[in-house]
Parts: sequence; C-alpha cells; structure tokens
Amino acid sequence: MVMPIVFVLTIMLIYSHKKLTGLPALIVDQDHSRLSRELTRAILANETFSLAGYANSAADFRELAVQDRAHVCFIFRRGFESALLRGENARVDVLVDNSDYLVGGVETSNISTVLTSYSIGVNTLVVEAIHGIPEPSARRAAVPLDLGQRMLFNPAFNSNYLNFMVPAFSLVPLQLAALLATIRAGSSEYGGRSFQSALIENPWAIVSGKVLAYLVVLLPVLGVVLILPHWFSGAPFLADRLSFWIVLTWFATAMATLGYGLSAMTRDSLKATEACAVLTLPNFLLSGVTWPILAMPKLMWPLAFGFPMNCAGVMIKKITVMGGSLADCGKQIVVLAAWSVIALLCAWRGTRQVLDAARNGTAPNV
Amino acid sequence: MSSPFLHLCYRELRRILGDQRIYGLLLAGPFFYAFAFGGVYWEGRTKYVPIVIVDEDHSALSRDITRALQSSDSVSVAGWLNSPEEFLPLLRRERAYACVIFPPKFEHDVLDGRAPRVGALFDGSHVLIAATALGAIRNVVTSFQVAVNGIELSTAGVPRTEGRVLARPIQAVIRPVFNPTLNYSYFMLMCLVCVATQSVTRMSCGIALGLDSSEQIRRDTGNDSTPILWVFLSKVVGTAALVIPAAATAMWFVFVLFGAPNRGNALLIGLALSLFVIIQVCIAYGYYGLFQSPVLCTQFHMFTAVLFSILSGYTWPYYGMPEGLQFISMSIPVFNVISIVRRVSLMGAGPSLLTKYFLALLVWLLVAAAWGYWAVRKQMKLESAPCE
Repeated sequence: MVMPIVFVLTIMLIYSHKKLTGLPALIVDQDHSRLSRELTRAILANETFSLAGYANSAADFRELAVQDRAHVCFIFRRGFESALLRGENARVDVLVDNSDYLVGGVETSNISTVLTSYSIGVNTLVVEAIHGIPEPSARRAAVPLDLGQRMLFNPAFNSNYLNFMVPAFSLVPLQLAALLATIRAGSSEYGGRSFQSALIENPWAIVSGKVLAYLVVLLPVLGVVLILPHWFSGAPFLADRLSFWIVLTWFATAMATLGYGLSAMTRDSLKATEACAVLTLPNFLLSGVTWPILAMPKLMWPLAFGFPMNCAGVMIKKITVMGGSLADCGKQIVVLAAWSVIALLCAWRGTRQVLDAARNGTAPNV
Repeated sequence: MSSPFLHLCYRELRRILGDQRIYGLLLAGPFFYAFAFGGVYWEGRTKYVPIVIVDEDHSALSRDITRALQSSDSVSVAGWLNSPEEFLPLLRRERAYACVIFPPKFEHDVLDGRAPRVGALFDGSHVLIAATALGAIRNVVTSFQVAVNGIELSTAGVPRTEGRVLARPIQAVIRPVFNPTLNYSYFMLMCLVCVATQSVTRMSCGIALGLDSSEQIRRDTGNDSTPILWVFLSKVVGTAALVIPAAATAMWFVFVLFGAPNRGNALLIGLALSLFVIIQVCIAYGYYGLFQSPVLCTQFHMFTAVLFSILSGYTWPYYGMPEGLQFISMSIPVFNVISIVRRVSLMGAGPSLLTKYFLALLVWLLVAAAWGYWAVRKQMKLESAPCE
C-alpha cells in the first residue's frame, strides 16, 4: 500500500519543473557589435538557456561540454552585424551537444524559436525601411504565413512533461501492487493449507473470494495513486468517472487474478515474482512513454500494444486526459479481455492443482 | 591461503551456473534487455506521425504546403477531413495525432498581404509525438514563409537574390556535435545496457545470497572456520567474473551491431562497467540483508527499478529535476557509469575529464562493499552454526 504512493510522489517530484530550463550556453562573440549583444540578450532571456560564460573561440566548447559546463555554443563571427548592414545574410553558428539526445532536441527547438523571432524582427525593420510602409504592415509582410498552433489535452504545453510522464508512470506501481500483493499472500496461504472446507470443491469461488478480498484494499489505494498527480500538480483529469472506475477495477482485477494464478500454479512466491518481473520490467521500455510506439519497428508493435499495462494506460489516458469514454477504447478492451481470460485460466488451473492434491491426500508442494 | 579462496570463488561460480534462474538472469539479462527491447530504438528517431488535413481553401498554395508535408519523413498524411471537429474522434482512436487547417481564402489573403494563419491542432497528451509533428509542420510553414516573403520582395522591385536574403536576414546554422546524425539509439542503448545490468544483477544476486548458508559452505569446503570476509569476497569475485564479461559484450554489441561510435578509450568504459558491476553485486547483497527474504528483496527491486532508471537521467535529463533530486540523481552509481560511457564513446573524453565520475564510483564501491559485507555476515550468522 505504501510503495505505490511513494512511487508516484517521487515521480511527481522528478517532473515537478515540467520542462528543461537553465541549460548552460557558451557565447563566442567575435563581432562585439550591438547586434551580437542584443541577440545574446534575446537568447539568455529564453528560460531554456543560462549563461555558462564567454569564450574567445569555439574550440573551448568541446572540453566544457565534456565537463558538463556548457551544452550549447553560439558563435557570432567577425563581420556579423556589418554583413546585415550590407544587405547580406548574417549567420549565427550554433554548436549543440547532442550526445544527450533529449537535451539536444530541446536546445535545437528553442534556438530556432529565438533566432526565427529575431529574424522576423529584423525583417520587419528591413521591409519598413525599404518600402517606407508603417510598422504593422511591415510586420505582416515579414511574416506572410502565421502558424497558429493549439495543443489539445495538455493546455500548458510548452514542453510540459509533468502532465504527460507522471500519469503514464503511475500505471507502473498500479500494476506491480496488484500483481505482487496477491503473489505473496497466495503462496503463504498454501503454505498454511488454510483452504476452507466449505469452498474446497469450487475453484471459482476460491478465486473470486480471494481476489475480491485484495481488491477491497487495493482499489482505493490505486484510485488515489492515479488522482494524486491531479490533486498536487494540476495534471488534467477530465474523466467520465464511471468509465474511469470500470477500467481501473477491471485492470486491477485482471492483474490480481493473474498474480494469484501464478502464485497458485507455482506455489512458490519467488518463482511467481520472477514470472511477474518478466511481464512488468519490459513494460517500462515498451510503454511508449519514453519512446513512442509509432517510432518502434513494426515487429515490436504487437508486443508493445499487447502488454496489459500499456492497454490500461492508453484507456486511462483516453478517459482522464482526452475526455473520452470506453467507446473510444475498442482495441484496448480486446487486449485487456484477452489478459483477463489468461488470468482466469491461470487461477483456475492453479486452484484445481491444489484441490486435487488435497483430495488425493498429498500435501501441496510448498 | 590463496587456494581456499580460489576454491570459494569456484564454488560461487558453480552455484550460479547450477541454478537456471540465476545464470539465466545474469548472463542473458543484459543481452535480452539491450537487444530484444533495445530494438525499440532501431529507427533512431520518430518518423511518419499520422496527421490529417482540413483544406477549406482548395487553392494551389494549400495543396503545395500539403505536398511539402507529405514529402517530410517526420509526418505522413493519413487523410483529409471536412472540418476540424472530425479530428477529435480520430485522435481518441489513435488514427491521427495532428491536424493542419487551411482556412477559407487562405491563398487569397496571402496574395492580399494579410498574413493568414495556418491552423494546427496537436495531441498534447503525448509530448514526444506532438513535438515531432510540431517540428515538421513548423519547418514546412517557415520554408513557405521565406519563399512567399522572397517572392513578395522581388515583386516589390528587390532583385530576386537580394529578396531571398532579405526574407531571412539572420540564419542559424545549427551543428549537432558528438552525435551529428541525431541518432537516438546511440545514447539510449548505452544507457539501456547499464540499466539492464543493474536490474539483473540486483535481482539475481539477492536471490543467490538467500539460497546460501554457512552450513552449505561448510559442506562444500569441508572447512569449519572460513572467515566471513573471504566468503563475501569470493561471492563478489565469482559473480563479477560472470557478469562483467556479459555486460562488456552487451556494450560491445552496441558499437558493433548498432553502429554507435566509440571515439575514446574502450578500456575506460570497461573499467567503469567493472566497477559498476561490483557495486551492484554488493548492493544486491545489501538489499537481501535489509529484507532477509529473496521474494521481498526482488519485489523491492521491481518497485525501485523504474525510479532509478528515471533518476539516472537517461529518460529525463537531470537538468529538469529539482535541485535536491539533481544531487541524488548525480550521486547514484548508474548516473555516473552512464556519464562515463557517454563521454568516452560519444565525446572522446580522456581520464582527466572523468575524474569526478570515477571518484563517485569509488566512493560507492566502499559504501556498497561495507553494506554487502554486513548483509553476508548477517546471513551467515543467522544460520544455526556460525562459520567463524
């Protein structure tokens, strides 16, 4: 009960900055002009960058990058401003440390944003000066096409990872808690041979009774785990509440049944835990959170879409973040139904084995 | 006394190789993770994100921009819609992740100098996909902006070449260093080998210690007074002798099979990996010492594995974490080994630039060794007849 909440609180803390800021930028200003200084100010005014220092040449950048003291280097070569005044293109050279692809990607996108805005500003002035037209018209001429972008479902999108990563990672402890709670308790139950005689002939009654007992404890905790990011960090939660609880209960039931089934079949909580590790550890890589499923080779798609955590994650995202309902989750419903059948078969088979052993008078293999 | 110690090491190797679960995890784990699941990064970057077009203008310009989008390998045009309202159901069914909208009179407004807007809707619920689609659409629109601007200036009497210059007076020439092809897999696969090595070592060594006892040692060695320090060291040496070659081979495959560049000294990578493996073996024993149960220690590891992966900075850079967590992130062994491997292989760094990372690993080695020794001692003392 404690681990899922600790897990999700830690994840929320990790992503609490929501985006990457303050990446150290090295400035090599060989022009020492008003334009290069203005552009430097514009770059540093963007919260993505902070000043790592000034250098005389770009040769210093590699060493500083290796020491983690600079991630990007802006170079204003001599004659930068005068080229612009002569009506030629002025070029800013930018070196980006791309050995960490995540940081490199954010830097490249922000460099383009700053320099494009500045370029438009300069363009406006040039058009205004050449044509002698007023500033608003000159601005329109400088930006003939405007891209009006709107992010759906993540309204604060400005590389806001908190709204995206935290809800996705919350599924990890949810799955682990449902699987592992039943795995330990299931095998220790067999160790004590405490099956009730009234239920002994009915495997389904044993399975449903046991799983239900765990769900009573698990469901409130799991519900809290999924709602915590919304309470504490304002992650969107547009849920159709009924659909949300149906998916959560269904997923938790399937996983608790699977955990119990593995426990009953192996009658050894260590073996059952290892079997769960095979199922849960790859989930993190294949969940599409750290790397989109779209970008994986097509051969991996069935595996990525087929993991129970992934299909439950997509369903919960559609319901809580996109404001959808179960009607939008056709594929995921099929996958979760398949996992539910597998879990029930495991639980039934495991329980039958133990009942047969009890009937034949042989002690369960504990 | 070296012969009994070697005998103990040999015993540990035999124990590991005699247990399918443990050797399966230890030897196959790094390969399985790095290559079966490392395959997810095979494409190198996100490509062909499905988008839809709402063309309410049906003009030559809107068709031109659509063609430009179709020729980009970052997005693929999945279809055309009559209105933006139709996009939302498609998005919820994962058929399209972005929608580009050309409003009525779009071309007409451009020709009139009214700066019309190309609308774009994105699925913000998946940041990575949205960023790829946004980048591609922005690039195409910016290119058209420059072209339209150039044409406009040339019709205003500015010569064609000058018009092009004026349309984009400041150019940014961005050069990615250390990974010029922007290949995501180079960085991710190296990290994955380190994280996989950590996971499988912690899981299997905790179990291995739980299955051993002073009674068994006495039976196997025929010696009643084996010092616990020797038992601990022989366990670490025996396990490391198996895991280090497995982890090193998995890392070597990243360079050989996946084509990641190695611009530095491979021995430094080997040294860092070896230190890392020994630390993980000791920490695994430490976990067992805390829980005194292979099941609990494996379950604890399963809960913390994802947290340590994220804290290592390979899925989320440590710059993006709060300051207190940055310190924790930079302190954990996996962060330091990843930093060394990345700096040596991609940046060509030498020993002088890696001092702080190696120092951190050495500090961890001491702490983990003390922790692991405590755990082995506790395990041996718990048995009915003490070893010492």
